[in-house]
Amino acid sequence: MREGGRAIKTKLQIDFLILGGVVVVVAYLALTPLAMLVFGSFQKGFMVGEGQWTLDNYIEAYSDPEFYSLFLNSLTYALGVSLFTFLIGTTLAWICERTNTPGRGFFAILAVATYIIPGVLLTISWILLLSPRIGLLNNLLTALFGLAAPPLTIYSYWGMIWAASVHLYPLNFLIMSAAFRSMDSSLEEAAWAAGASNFTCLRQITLKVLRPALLSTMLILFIRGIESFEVPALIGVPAGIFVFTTKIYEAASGFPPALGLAGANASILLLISVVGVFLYQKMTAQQESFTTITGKAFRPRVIDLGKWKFLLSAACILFFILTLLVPVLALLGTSLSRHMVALTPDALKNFSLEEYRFVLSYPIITRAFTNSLLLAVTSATIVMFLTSIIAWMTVRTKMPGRWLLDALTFIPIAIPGVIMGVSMIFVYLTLPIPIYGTIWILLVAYVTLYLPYGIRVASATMIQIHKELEEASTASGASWAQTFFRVVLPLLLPGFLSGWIYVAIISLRELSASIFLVGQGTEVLSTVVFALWDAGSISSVAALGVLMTLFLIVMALIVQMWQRRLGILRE
Amino acid sequence: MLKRYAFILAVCLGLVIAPHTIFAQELNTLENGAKKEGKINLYGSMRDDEAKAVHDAFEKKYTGVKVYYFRSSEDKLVTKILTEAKAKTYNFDVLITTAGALLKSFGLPLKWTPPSASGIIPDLLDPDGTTTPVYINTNVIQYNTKLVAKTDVPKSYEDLTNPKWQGKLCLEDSDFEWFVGLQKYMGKEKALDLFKRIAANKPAMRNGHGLLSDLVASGECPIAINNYGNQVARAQKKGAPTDFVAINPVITIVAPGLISKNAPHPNAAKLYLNWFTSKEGQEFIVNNGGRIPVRVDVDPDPPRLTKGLKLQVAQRAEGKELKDIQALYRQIWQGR
Repeated sequence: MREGGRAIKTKLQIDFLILGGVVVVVAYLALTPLAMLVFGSFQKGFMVGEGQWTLDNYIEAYSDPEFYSLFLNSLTYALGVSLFTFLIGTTLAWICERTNTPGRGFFAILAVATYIIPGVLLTISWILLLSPRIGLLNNLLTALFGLAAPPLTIYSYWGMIWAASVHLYPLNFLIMSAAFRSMDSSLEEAAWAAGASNFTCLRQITLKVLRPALLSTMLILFIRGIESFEVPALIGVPAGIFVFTTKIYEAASGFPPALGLAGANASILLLISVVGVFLYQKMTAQQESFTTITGKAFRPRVIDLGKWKFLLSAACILFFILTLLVPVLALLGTSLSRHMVALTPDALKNFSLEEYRFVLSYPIITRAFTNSLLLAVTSATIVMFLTSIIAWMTVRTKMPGRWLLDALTFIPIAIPGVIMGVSMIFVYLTLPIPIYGTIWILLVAYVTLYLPYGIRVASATMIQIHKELEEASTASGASWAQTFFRVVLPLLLPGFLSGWIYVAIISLRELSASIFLVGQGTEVLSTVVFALWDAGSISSVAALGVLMTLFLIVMALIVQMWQRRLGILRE
Repeated sequence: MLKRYAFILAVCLGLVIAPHTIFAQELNTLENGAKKEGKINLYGSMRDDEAKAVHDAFEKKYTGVKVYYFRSSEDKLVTKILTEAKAKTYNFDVLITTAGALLKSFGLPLKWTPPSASGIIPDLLDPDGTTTPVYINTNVIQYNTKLVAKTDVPKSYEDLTNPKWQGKLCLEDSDFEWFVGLQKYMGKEKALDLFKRIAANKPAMRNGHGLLSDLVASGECPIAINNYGNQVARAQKKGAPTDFVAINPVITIVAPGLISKNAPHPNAAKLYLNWFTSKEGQEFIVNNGGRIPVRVDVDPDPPRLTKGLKLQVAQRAEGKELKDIQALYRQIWQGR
């Protein structure tokens, strides 16, 4: 008897250690960057000279007239991006989910493919296409219509918004597709029965029913717009349009490094995104209660567009040619030239594979490739592991303070990548944990950044699994750890895997935090692309871009085939 | 008479040979030490494709010593090193970038002069002997030879104020040495007035001299108000349609190489810096990437990059002075 008692006690201790450990790790990850960012922003001479408390950084940031133009620019840009992205993504989602347009299944795959290509690459290809004098599209338009001056320029608000939107819209597409799929269409049926046309029905009923979903999506897109770094850095800076993210980057990477000033600027950006995320959560909470009441067990009717469906199909094809095929071709064309050229028939004569030879033989690039892959795999594994345990605690137990745990895991979604980068520097220059300059600091940053994505998938999956199998396991005398790893985790596997794949993909593209944290030997693919562009090795960037795109598409295809075999549903 | 010549010859020979044997010994020690260390962590601003060939050449000569390169632009590199020092991670061995001397006031470089420095143009040497000049950047006007007609090629900065260049100019966003150098030469007021009139043509601002050179070569920007002469030479070597105009006095930036006080591979670091500044190393960087050499016995390619020009070595600003220059630069060129 006493033997058994001791065994139960040690089992309990292990359980407690695991659960407690996970809570501590998550709290540490979510809170230290924020705390240190605030601390650093009140410090003078954080990098240079003696540290002391000061308000100077805030005074310098807020008294600079540029601050207000930054605010205005950030707002204009983020609003433009969210509106435009919303328009593209929702239209496409409606076409793919609710109409009988031919090829809609294929369009959905293409939209997701666009999302997989790293933003820094697509941005660069848009620069190649829309540069005033050598942009392929500009040259085509000038030649076709006999224009005196190039009609378009990437270096403007419109250029920035376009380049950002055609990369971000798949996010909106996925959210809206899900909304269209799960919406209750009985009101639409009533409208049609009353003789309303397709368009009237869309305007009067469908969009109104979906209003909560629409608003919350807009909000998340706005936050993504205000946090984005690639487009503002590559297009905004040369165009003289500075936003918060580029200002923070400039302050933190210029000499002498003004990390405190970067922190002061980051605080306002952080505030905007925290408020945004808070509103978003409030809205989606309402929306969920709304949908559960009206949820019905049938799929909304597919609308027959008649002859129009062919026109719509053609429009979609044109859209994907313009936003996916042409940018990739522009990269391909540039990668075959020895230096940046206008892609005219003349340039074809000088094509060579020299840049590919360089890219494939350059040790930094192969090293970055290994690092990126390693980081994607480990961060996805750690994120899904941590969030599965957190999800179990928040969904299954009646533990006091579990809402706090959920909130903690969700906090990092409000931290833009650039801020995460700066905060990580603060944290690991202050705490006696020597990981600055190693690959570990990147791993910590990635895990923190992607906890919120993991927790969403993990809780959603956890809710679907019935408790009885766990109870059976516990009743048979298994410890929590045994139950969790041998019963719960296997049941979670499909959700776990799709979350894992998602986190791995976004880790592979991460640029804005990595750019502060990479050092010699820890470069990742996106920072190498950025650095090569910075140095003007544009053909090398293009060659690397083509190879990366090929690799990611092959990966995505393998994942898709594999998922189909495992029977995992699309998220 | 003959005796005197013989004497001078003997002295000269002595001067030439004696140090060589000492150098040879020192080099030998370095080489052996470097081979034991096996690698060198090099931080620099040279473009990756240019740098790779340089590393290959070094690794071929000193087999067993591998070069690990980290490339970034000058300010970012210095910032990176400062951050690493703050985190007490001492990673870099050698730094080669124009902003390198900024590290001196933080006590991070090692005071060391390579044996091969004896062949460097004396005017370029660091007065306190901490850093070693490795190449120079000359500030010149770069233009696209297809888009700018021979008769239109600017002969002075004044020519760039012509409204016909509206929207056709570009400039790097951190050419502070050139900006200050011209002010010193022309007088601040006159220079700023000139800059403002050029700025009226709305130059596009870009970051990075390599990028700027590519933009000019591709025709995206017909004229760069200022770029580095070696970038133009490099583009020409690749067959790009571009050339430069050097206007006297040519503001010249000396790029220093320096070794970290806390270098993890000190022998390899010294070996590298010595090779880089040797005749062989300098000839290699000239042929490979159009760099402008610092040695008396190596000519640039084409020689007109420096021949017959009045070079004015620029001073690098620091601290408050630098901040003010940056602010003025932004105000004039970017209107912010």
